[in-house]
Amino acid sequence: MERISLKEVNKSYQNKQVLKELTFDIQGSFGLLGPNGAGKTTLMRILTTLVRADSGEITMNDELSWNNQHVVRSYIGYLPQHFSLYKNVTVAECLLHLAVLKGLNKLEAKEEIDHLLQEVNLQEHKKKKIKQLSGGMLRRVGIAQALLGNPRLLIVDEPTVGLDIEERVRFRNLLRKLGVNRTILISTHIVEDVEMTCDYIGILKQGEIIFTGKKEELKALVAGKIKEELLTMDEADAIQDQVISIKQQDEKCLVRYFVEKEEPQANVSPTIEDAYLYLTRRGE
Amino acid sequence: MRFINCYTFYFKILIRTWIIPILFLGIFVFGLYTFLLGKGLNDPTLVLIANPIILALMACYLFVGIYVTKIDEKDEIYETFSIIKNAMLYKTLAKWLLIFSSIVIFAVLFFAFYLYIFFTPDFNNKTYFLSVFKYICLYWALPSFIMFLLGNLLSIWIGGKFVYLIALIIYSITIPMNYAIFRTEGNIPSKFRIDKILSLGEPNVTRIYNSLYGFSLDLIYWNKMILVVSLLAMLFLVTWKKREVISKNQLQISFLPVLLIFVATTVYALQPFQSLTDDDGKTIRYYRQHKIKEEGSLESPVYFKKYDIELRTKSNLDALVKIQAVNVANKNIKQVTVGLFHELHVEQIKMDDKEVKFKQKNDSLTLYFEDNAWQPNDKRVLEFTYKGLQSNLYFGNAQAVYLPNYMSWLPTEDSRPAFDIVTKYHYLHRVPHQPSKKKIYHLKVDGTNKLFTNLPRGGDGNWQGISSDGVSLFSGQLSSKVDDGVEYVYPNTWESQFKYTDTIQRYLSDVAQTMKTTLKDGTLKIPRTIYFVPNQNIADGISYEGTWWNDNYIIWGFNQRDYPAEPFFTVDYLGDFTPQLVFAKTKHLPKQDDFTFNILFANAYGRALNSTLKLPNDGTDVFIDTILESLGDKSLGNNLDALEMNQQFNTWLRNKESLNPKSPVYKKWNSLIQHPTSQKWNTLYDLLKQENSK
Repeated sequence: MERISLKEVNKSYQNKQVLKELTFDIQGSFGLLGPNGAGKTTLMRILTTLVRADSGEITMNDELSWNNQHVVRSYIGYLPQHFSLYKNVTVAECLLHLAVLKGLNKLEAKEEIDHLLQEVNLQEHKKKKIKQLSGGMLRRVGIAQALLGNPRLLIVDEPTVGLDIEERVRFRNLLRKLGVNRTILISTHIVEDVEMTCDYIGILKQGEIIFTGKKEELKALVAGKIKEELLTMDEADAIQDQVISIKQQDEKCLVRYFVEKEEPQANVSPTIEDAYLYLTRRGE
Repeated sequence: MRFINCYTFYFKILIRTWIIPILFLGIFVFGLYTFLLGKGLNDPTLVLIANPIILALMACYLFVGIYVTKIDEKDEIYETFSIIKNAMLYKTLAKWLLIFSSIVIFAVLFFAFYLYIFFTPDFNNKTYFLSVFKYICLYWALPSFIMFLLGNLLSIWIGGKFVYLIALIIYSITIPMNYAIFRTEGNIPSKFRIDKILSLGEPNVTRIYNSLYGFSLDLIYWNKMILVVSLLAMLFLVTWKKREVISKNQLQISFLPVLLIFVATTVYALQPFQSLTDDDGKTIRYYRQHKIKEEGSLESPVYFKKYDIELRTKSNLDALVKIQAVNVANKNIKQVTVGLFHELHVEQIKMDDKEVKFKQKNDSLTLYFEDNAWQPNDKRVLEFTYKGLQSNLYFGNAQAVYLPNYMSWLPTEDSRPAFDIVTKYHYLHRVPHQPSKKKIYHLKVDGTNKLFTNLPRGGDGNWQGISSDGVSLFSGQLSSKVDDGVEYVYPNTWESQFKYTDTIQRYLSDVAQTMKTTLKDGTLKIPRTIYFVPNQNIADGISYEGTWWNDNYIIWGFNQRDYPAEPFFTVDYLGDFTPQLVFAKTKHLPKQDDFTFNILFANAYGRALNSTLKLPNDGTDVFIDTILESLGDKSLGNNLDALEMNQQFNTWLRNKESLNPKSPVYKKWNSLIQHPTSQKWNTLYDLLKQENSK
């Protein structure tokens, strides 16, 4: 599987530094988390060669440099956040157009399209025009097009935004499956997406990478720092800066929160969300 | 493969939008309708220039250009495709080819229907139809493609609906009717016409088809299209590089040739050239503004014996003329003035290979010999290098040549102005400049496909011989045929008029024979060649100026607006030509001509000829009245009252004898034209008075 290495990558827009000295590796199924405005989209656009970094170096397996954009493009499959295609053209026609542009011959393309449509469960909709598809179907077409030509790096931006619960689950399963044999980068602000589909995680905050590592490593950061207990609303308000979640239970609330010091009795098993909130709130 | 895929993909997209197929179908149907209208008017030349179809095509392709770019410029689509290697490049080029092929199909279809509707047994000249195809390509197809590219570029640069406003502005200033926006109107003369520079269509939308020059298909207009396309190509390349559609290498490889084309076409566009314009008033304005009547002289101390002429008729007339001349005065000459039409700008003059100083002013050219005075009887070789011509009356470029013997396109001993403004109506009168003595000519022409001239052919591009009335050159949209030993040269759109030439031949023979016998004119010959030329424009005022009766040929002039939808050479119309032919004969004299004196004779005598030949005299009397009204005491000389002269004329015209060409009045009058005296008006007055009193 491919390893993408970023080294001191910087990017500014109108004197505002959006990405600061990013240095980390992307490998396996990698989830990029971060609050809105953290710089995720900018980083994705740099990785997909849509924009260039101001400085720094990006390489694939220490060999292929991102300076060579035209070559890099042949290794990338990309599903943008707001994906759509030509409204009056059918799914099969659109995919064929994309496949041929990616360098497949017509016969190969048709076979691959059939295979991918089966994989994304859209085989029976292939003659539908794009304008006739639901949001979920369109995202699946997006994944199918990104997979055309079997790219070594699959980049998916906010994959489940706007999807209903059922489609979201289906989509996550699909991403999970796709990440088995290739490097896949998923950018999202929905922690659940990453939890369900990724082995590696990176957290971006205000243009800086504040964590990269395995899921377990992230969770380990908050082990022993989370407590869950029934509190009144007034008690919960008193520690609101530490609260992770509140669930109403009769007259009291089951409050999940960070403890200031590690406590042996804080034996609640941590989640990615806990760790994410812990890291992103730190220093605020 | 990628390219074909993109081509068919965009074809599907465009065909599935309901508005674009309907637009194209509408334009096509409307185009056919305009052709059928032209068919009804029996004028195939009418339907191309100023056809609203071009406005519709330009608007439509501008819209298509915006549309096909906008669909790809949506973020969600642009991001998907722009990370596929070279995808945007293939897509863009495929779109261009698709639109270009649709334009080609349109051009071919329109041309095919044009052929179907207008190609008939009476109207079938291949050269003309080829020029129609070129016209459709140049002014219908290429502007449409350029508008498409503009739409493309605009929607890359400008997002949202603002692009439509900018597109509308660009459309308004680049359509052929943009003079309405710039308020330059149709005929306002100006060296720098912004509307003409920006217009992508027909440059002379307010004028009709010129049967000699043809359509405005000069190389300069093709050059303009290439210039615009290369400019757009450069803008595209820079834009693509900025958007990483192409790499730095690809930019470097492609930008240089495009830049070279742009520079070459710009340099070519800045060169002087002659083309047909819609400013027909240029010549008359010049002679109204320049009071040059008194300058110049018919008499010269030198005689030009032999001309070696080398002409290059490409974008403009280039001439190198070597003249063997002799001093016929009895004294040394330190300077001499010769005639040359003012639009021909002299670059250099040499005498016996040594450069001489000269001064060009209006239609004359003064050569200063300074220390190298020209001795009596001394033979010298004068060498003139000059170029130019801008008017719509004379041409000397690759598309048309009209350099008649009566116009001073060659340096002549006669240094009078080429034109004169005559009568109180300010008619533009062509002053005869054809020589009256035999001269030897050797002519070499480079640049014109088929040239007609009165000189015998000497080889490829060469003509040589002796002529006693100069050299005339004709080229352009001309056809020719020989019937009964007479050659007819005429515009190729007038073929049907010359299907049967016996009427013309009989008429000319009758006129010539009657003139010869009644006027006892021994110089009059029945011509062996007749050039039918639309050599007059609206500034000429009267239709007598274009016809010239030379030794072996007639230049039979027509107005450029005289498209012969109806037969010209029938009994109904021939009567109109008779006074013109008589007037033409008066222009053959090596004397200062008197326009009013001659034109009155031409009409009075022409009226008599028509009566003898049983041809109608419609219009002759009215024209005589008009000329008589313009008579002033000053123009008649001493002791003669214009009113009295007028009365004598009117009395004469009511006299039955005035319809007899044998009347001694005409013989004497003609003699006064050939041998004018200062008392000619008095003599004519006495003559008329004497006849009227009988």
